[in-house]
Formats: sequence, structure tokens, C-alpha cells
Amino acid sequence: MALGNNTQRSYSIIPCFIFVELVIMAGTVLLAYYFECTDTFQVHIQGFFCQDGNLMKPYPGTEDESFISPLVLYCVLASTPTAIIFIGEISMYFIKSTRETLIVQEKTILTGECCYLNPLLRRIIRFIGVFAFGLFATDIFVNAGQVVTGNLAPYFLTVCKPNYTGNDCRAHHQFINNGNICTGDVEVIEKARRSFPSKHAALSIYSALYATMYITSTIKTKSSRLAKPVLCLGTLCAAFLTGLNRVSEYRNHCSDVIAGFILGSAVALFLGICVVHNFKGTHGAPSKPKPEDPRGMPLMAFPRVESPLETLSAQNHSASMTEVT
Amino acid sequence: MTLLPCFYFVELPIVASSIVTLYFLELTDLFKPAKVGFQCYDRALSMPYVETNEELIPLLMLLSLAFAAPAASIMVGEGIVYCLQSRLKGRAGAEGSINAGGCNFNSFLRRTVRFVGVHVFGLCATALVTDVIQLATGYHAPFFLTVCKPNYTLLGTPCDANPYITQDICSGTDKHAILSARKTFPSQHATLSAFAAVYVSMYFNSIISDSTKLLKPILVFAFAIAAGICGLTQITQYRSHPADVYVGFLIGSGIAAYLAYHAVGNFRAPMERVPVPAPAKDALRALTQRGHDSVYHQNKSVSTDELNPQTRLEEAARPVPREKNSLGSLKRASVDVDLLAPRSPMGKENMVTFSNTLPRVNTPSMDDPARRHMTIHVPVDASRSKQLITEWKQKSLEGRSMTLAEEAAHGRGAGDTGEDVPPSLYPTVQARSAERAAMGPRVLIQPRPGASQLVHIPEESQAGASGPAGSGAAVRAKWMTLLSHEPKVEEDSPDPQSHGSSPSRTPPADITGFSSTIHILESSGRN
Repeated sequence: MALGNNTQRSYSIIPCFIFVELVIMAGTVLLAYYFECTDTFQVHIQGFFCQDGNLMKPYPGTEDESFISPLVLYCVLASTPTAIIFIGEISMYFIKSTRETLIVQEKTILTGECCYLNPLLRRIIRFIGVFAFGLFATDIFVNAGQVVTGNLAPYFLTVCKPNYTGNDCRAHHQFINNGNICTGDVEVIEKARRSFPSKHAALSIYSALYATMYITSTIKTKSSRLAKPVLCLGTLCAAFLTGLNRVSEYRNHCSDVIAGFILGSAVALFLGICVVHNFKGTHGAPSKPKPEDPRGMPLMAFPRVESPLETLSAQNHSASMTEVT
Repeated sequence: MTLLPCFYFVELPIVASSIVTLYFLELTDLFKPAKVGFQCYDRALSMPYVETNEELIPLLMLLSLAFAAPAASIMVGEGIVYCLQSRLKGRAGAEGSINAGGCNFNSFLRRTVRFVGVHVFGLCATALVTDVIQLATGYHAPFFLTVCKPNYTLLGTPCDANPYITQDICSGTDKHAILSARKTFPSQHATLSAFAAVYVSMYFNSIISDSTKLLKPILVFAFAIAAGICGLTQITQYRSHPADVYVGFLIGSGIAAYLAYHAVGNFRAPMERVPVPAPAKDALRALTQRGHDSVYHQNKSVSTDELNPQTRLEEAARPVPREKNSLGSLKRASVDVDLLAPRSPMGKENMVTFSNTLPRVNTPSMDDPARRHMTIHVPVDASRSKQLITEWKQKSLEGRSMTLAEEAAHGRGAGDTGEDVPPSLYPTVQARSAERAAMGPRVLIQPRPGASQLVHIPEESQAGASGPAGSGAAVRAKWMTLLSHEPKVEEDSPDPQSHGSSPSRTPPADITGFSSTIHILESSGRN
């Protein structure tokens, strides 16, 4: 092939990328936008018990007053794996020993006549794109769960300030299905109805797990034994503490945070294992040649070879073959 | 030909019986749920009751969704796969069409019927498991006290004592609702939707290629979200406790994963496992043929002066049968070696013994020093390839027998080795040699020993022959793997004597048992 060993000509990659990946990505982002920023999807109105002790925790203030404010959290969890993948890929590409294996795994794709997509670019786009997709997908999962369940946050009754006069709330077992007896701030109540699963927990564990899987499967250093575990456990611990912080600030129930952890890690594991295949190349290792080919063909072609080595090999195979059968 | 009867008489009755059982469990009250008590004014059981027709996702809709959506997507996926396969003909032909009794089933039909059938069966099985567990546990749904309307005055004790009520004190009129309120663990919606989602997700996971990175996750996530919503609405509508739904998810996905892995082989073509032995057989045959050919030509070129013309004639009259399996080629190889055997007159009797086992060692002239190296070389290969000790022993035995064959070719120990030949092991050779009864002295030797020789062979060769003689297939497979190591070793070490000093090599010591070890090797290979 004139293009060389590791170059592949493909005209379908750019259209495929544009018409499949980008469309899917755009749809995902659009759906996440509708969930997050508009009230297209109304929260399910969930009832509650009179004077439910689980829902009467103090109101911790708006989200921005939290110890981990949403803006900081989103920035960190979106940028950290991106930066890790970026640095890791670039260093892999420029370190000689890893570059060879990288080029074996991944082919340079020549599309059209001008554009070369080298392995570095392809890997970075693939991993970061899948990461971004997973981030939005996790967000959609979380929002769908929150909208469908309408689980009440621990501080719901505090901000709701229900007007019990219409209902007879003498007994604690009285279940109030009518959620419109709240007298508090409508927006805060709306927020308090979105609790299951915890968005912070799901997004942070997703991001941390994705970064951890990338680090574990990509960086292979013999010199430093502790750098990799420290990095991985550090990110995982940060995600874990984020979830715990939600519980300790009475913003989520414990079950919400656990559900968020399970959701985020399921998404990350699925994407990491089934979609990007543990961050290996798409082609995998080149398939080994058939074991009998190299030894068989010369013998078949020159049966009268007088060289002792050739006859040796002939004897060897045939002797062992007859032993086998 | 067994496809259709197997389908009619095995698969269909299984599915039908599961459906019938499901009907009895679901729609008749033949089986009553277990009696479980409750407590006064239990808060977890006094949720409001959502009428069955007001449910967000009624059972019928759930059933149709859990069945129709995965079945439709499997059909569409199979259609696309079939179109792609027929376009890229020859490369993707994983599953051929089967002609059974005049009916031609192509791969699309077969795969679709298989996957959708397993899906239907899995739905039935999941519903069955769910019903059985629901009946066996008999836990109360969250709306139980609402529909039960218990008359607490029927109790002997006041409710302030917080008694555990096991009597039937329900005063509600809706018997059907009360009955359904006692079947909640695990949630049927959760199990069915989780089964469908996991099954179709595994289908997507194995069918969609890697060229598009986001198509697979978007489909999988769509089904996962649908299943999650199905389960979660059960919680929000107070039909089930959260634990019911989570356990239902686990049960459904477990059944789906089991069926996808073990019933349909993770949606791969079932022929995938068959080609693995087939190339092995081909390689075996090719190797045997090749070795035979090379030796055959070699012998012709080296020395054919001692071949008597009768043998020549017979050889010409009996063309070598080109059989397709490896056994046939092996037979041919050994027979041809028999023909070539009279070339070395000193070891004639031994030729009969060894020619079945070690034709390549015996037939070439033993004067070549390189070939003597060769006889030592084989155990070195064994030590190189890091095999188990048992095969190791067998290999060392082989080396021993080879060196002994060399000795036998020099005329030592010719008499006692011939006695150990059990001809019953080699019927083909016997038959061939019987028709050549008048030709050589070896025919007189062959009928002499009895079949009971095999019994005391292990006694003769206790030193090394402890290898399992019955595991012929395993030994063959390991030898095939051994073979792949050999050329590299040869290239690496043209001088085998340097390996002769390696500690793992067994020196050929046991002279008296050498022929019996050959028999062991042969019997273990042929069994």
C-alpha cells in the first residue's frame, strides 16, 4: 500500500462523525438543556405525611451557599477528566516508548486528499467526546429520575410551610396527597421536590470514575508505584466526599446519594468498558499470523531440501504429529 | 434435520407450559398469597390507592412495551445485519442458512426467531419468578391499609398496644384490590422492564460495531431510562415500596444477563465455536501430510535400492487415499512408512514396531549426525514450552524412544522389542501387513504378541510412564499448542546440544521399557 503501514484511507469517517455522532450529541445536549433550564417537564407532585420528621430538617440555604457550590463543582468535574485525558494523550504521543504501541493500535486516517487524522487527534476527540456525552447522559438520567419520582428533599416541610387547616392532621399516619397546601416560596419548593437521585453525587462519581478508568488503563509507569493509586483514590475520594456533603447539609437523603453513586458509576463503567473498550485502540493488537504458515510453506515448496535444519524441522513436526495422533 | 422437530417438540412446549403456568398464577386465584400480618396504622402501608385504570403505566401497556419495543428493535437490527452481511458476502458469513425438510431458513430468520423467542421466554420466566416470589412472600403494598380499611374493633386488644395483626380484619369491599395489595414484592413492572432493557441492551452491545461511538450508548440509555421510569412510577404511585422495585430491577436484569449469556451466546453466531476445532483439524492434517511428503521424498531420494519391486508395485497399485480427516492421513502416513521400512534391513522388526509411532525417526538413515541431534531435540522443545509435568514425561518418553530407536537401528535389542508389539492397536497396519504376508519377516513377528501386553506395560515403565493414558484428546490439544512453539525454538537454537545440558531435559535411560512407552503414547493418542 502506498500510504504506508499505519495509514488508512477512509471517506466515511467524516460524514459518519457529522451525521451520527454530532446529531446524537446535539440531541443529548438539547434534552439536558430542556431538563435543566426550562420547565418543560413538570415535577411529579408527591404527597407526604403530616409532620414527617424526615422532611423537617432545617433549610440550608440556596445551592450557592453550599460548601460545594454548583458552579465550582460543575467546572471541576468537567475540566478535571478533560485535562487528565488531554495531558495523558499528549504525553503518550510524545514519549517514544508509548508512542509506538499507540501507533500500532491506532491508524492514521487519510480522508479526502488533504486531511490526516492522526492517532493523537482521534483518541483525544473520542475519549473527551464520550466523556462529554456521558456527562450529559448522566444529567438526563438524574433529571428524569428527579422529575418522575418527585421525591422530597429533607428540608421540604421547612420551606413548604404547609397549611394544615383544611386537612385533619391529628394523627401522624395521615397522608397528604394534595401537594398544593404549601405556603412558602414556589421556586424553593420546586427545588425541594427534586431530590432523588442526587445530581451532585451522580455527576461527580461519573467524572471521577471515568478519569480513574482512564488513568488505570492508560498510564503505565514502572518507576512510580504510588502515583497512580494516589491519583485514582484521590479523585474517587473527592467524589465520595461530595456526596457525603450533600447528606450532611440536609440537601439529600442518604438513599438519594447512594442512588446517584450507583447511577453515575454504572454510566461510567458502561462507557468505559463497552464503548471505548478500556481506552484501548479500536483495532486492537494486530492479529497474529497463523502458526503453521511460516514453517509449512517452505517445506511444501521444497520437499527435497538437503539442509539438515530443514529436514530437522520436518522430522520434528512429523514426529510430534504422529505422536499426537 | 433435527432443527424443526427440536423446535416443535422442545422449545415450543417449554414456552407454552411457562405461559400456561403464568396464566394460572396471574389471572386465576388458584394460589393464595402467604399470610403476613401488619401493625395498626402502619405509616408505610397507608399510602393512597391509585386505581388500576388511573395508573400511569398499566400492566397491559407495560407488557406490550416490554415485549414490542425490544422485539421490534431486534428485528430491525437483524434486518440491518442481514443486509450488511449479504453485501459483504464471504466475510461476515457467520451463520449459514439451514435447509430442513424442504424449508430453507436463512440466517436472518433463524437469528430473529431465536432472539425474539428467547426474549418471549425470558419475559414469561421473569413474570413467573416474580409471581412465585410475590405469592411466597405476600408482603403488603403501600396502599394496603387504604383498601383494606381494617376494622380495628374486631381485635381483642386495643391499638395502643401496637399489636401485630395477623387476623383478616379487612372491611374493604374491593376484594381484587386487597388481593393485589398482598402481592408486591418484587414489583412486576420493575422485573419485566429491567429484563427487557438489559436483554436488548446486551443485544445492542454485541451487535453495534465500534465505528460509531455514540449510537450504542444512546440506545442503551434510552431503554435504561424507560425501564427506570417504569419502575419508579410504581414507587411514586404507591404501588410498591422502593425496595420492591430495586429488588425487581436486580431480578430482571439477572435473568436477562443469564439468558443473553447462556441461552443465545451473547448474541454471537453459534457457529463461532465450531470453526475453532476445524482449523485445528486442518492444521493437523496439513502437518501430517507435509511431514509425510517430505519424508517420502527424502527417502526416495536417499536410498531406495532395498525396496523390492513387489512393494513398489503394491504401492503403485494402491494409491494413497486422500481422506479428509486427520486419522485417515495418519493411517496413510504410517502405511507408507511401512512400505519404506525394508530400506534398513537391520531394524526390520523394529520398523514394524516404530513405524506406526515414529516414522520420521526410523525411515531416514541414522548416519546423519544432524538427525541424531534431532532426536535429542524434541524433549528440549518440551522443556521450552513450559507444559505440565505429565506431558513432560510423555515427551521425555518420546525422546527416549527415539534414541532407543536409533540404537535399535544399529542392531541392538532387536529381538525383545518386537515382542511387545500389540497388533490389536493398529488394525490398519495389521490388515495391510497381512496381505503382504509373504513379503518380509516382519509379518511373522506381528501376529505373535497378544493384546494383554498393554496391561503390564505400566509395570515395565513405571519410571516415566505415569502420564495419563486416557486423556487422549487433551494430550492432542496440548500437542497442537506445543507445535506452535517448535519452529521458533529451532530458529533460535540451531545447535540442540547446547540445550541438552539444560536441567529440564531427561536423559534417555530406560531401555527396557522403551517400546512399551511407545505403546502408551500411541494408545493415549488414539483413545
